[in-house]
Amino acid sequence: MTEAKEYDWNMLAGIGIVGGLVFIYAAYVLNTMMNVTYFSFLGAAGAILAVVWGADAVRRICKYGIGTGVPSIGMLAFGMGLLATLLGLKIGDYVGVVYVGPVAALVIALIQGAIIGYLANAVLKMKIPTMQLGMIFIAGAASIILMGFTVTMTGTFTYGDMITKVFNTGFIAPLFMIGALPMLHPFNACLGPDEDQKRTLTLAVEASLLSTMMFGIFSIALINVVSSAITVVLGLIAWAYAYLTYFKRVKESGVPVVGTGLLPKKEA
Amino acid sequence: MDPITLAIVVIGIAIAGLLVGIGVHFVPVGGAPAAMAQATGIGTGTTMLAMSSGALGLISAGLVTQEIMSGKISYAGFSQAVQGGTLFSLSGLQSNIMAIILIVVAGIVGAMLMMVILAVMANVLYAFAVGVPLVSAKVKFDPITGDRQDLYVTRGTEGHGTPTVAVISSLIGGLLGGAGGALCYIILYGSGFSIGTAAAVAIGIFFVNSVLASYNITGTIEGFHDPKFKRVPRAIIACTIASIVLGIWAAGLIFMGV
Repeated sequence: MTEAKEYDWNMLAGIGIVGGLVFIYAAYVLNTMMNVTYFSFLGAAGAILAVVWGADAVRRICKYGIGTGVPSIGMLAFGMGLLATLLGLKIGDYVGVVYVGPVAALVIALIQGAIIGYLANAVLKMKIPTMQLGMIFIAGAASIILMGFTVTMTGTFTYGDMITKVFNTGFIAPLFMIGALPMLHPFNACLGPDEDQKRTLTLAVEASLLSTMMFGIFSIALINVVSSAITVVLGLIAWAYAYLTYFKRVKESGVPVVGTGLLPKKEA
Repeated sequence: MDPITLAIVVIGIAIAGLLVGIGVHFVPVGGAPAAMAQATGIGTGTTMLAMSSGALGLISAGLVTQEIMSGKISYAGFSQAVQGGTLFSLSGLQSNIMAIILIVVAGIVGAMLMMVILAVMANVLYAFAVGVPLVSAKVKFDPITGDRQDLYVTRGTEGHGTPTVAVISSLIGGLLGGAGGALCYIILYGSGFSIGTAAAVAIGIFFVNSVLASYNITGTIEGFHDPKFKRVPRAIIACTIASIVLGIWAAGLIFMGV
């Protein structure tokens, strides 16, 4: 296959961090300033950028073969990210400046990822060169995905709202699973010798838009029908586009299988 | 919040994570080859096994916690300690230790039940539907029953199903994993987290430790008779450090008032 130039993972990390935080803050600021909830869908846009970042880190770690299957790394990322995100948002709540929360959550998640990555490489002797940085990246991505989809579901990211609306209602269970899926699924589905970064990341966008629609539906219970409809409709349009793009990429790298019929019984 | 309570929380979560990490080494995880009856163990990955047994352990631990809280199982002072967030202070621990043990045992029952269902029900399918004997390729004789193993292993495979020693091993794994999960849950719930938050955070800690442990065994293991089991000291170090870090985050949350 053609060795198309791959996106650098530091660049994707930059887009994931900056873009993710900008969208999460934008959703919160616009919602609070105008006293509406219609901008909740912006949280999903931030989450999607983080999904692309995380999915790329997952493919770079799992390319070496981790022996446990790709899904395990997504669950590990969310296990690390969950407590870090809660603590970060709580710090924002504790110091009284809500805007500190997401940045603190991201920083704590990155520290957590660095420790786990070091343990995996140095103590468990996995000897994967991308493990250290990759773990930092997936933990950070998981943290932004959690916050982004929380904004999609509730319209805000404050600690109190996250606890009462997401955790106490039990919506954390789908958030944990459907949030992790778009990050771990693309490489799990596309892995192999012919794996191609652009195709995998297109699938990441497609899968995260499916998740967005799910969280949009959940937000009927947590915000209102109008905000939910905005998220679902925009998600559906974007998903259709992403799906067609992905399908095109699959067709580009596919090969035709020609039916030749059975072998003749007798030599002619 | 007094520092002793925070220290107890960190140490408790470290112990819980350690139990989960060691427990994973006892669970016969076969992965995809086992699902096709080409390797010994339960035919799925560690993540799913840990999740299923951990979730059932959490449900049973949560059930018993609720029964104690609502007074169905009477235990004086427990619900006041939980509501005041003082369950894991030194005095609260002393007076409520039996209730905590009861909850941990409930978690153990749930996790062991799930493990034995996963191991034995799959064995029924392997024996009567796939039609393979239940053997391990890692040992010549089953260490518990003494049955000959190597003669019955199909050539080109690494055993089939879950033989007796692996079932016993999975029960030990369920015991340790269930204890770890339930301990983690009750520590978080007892120090002021809401039920949903405690359960979700406990599952998160459970996942981190089970995935780290499964990295240590590179995805598959047959039980305590497997040569890979000798790697367990590495997992002890890794899971303890990882859980201490997670415990510090949790203690930070408790310090700031959950």
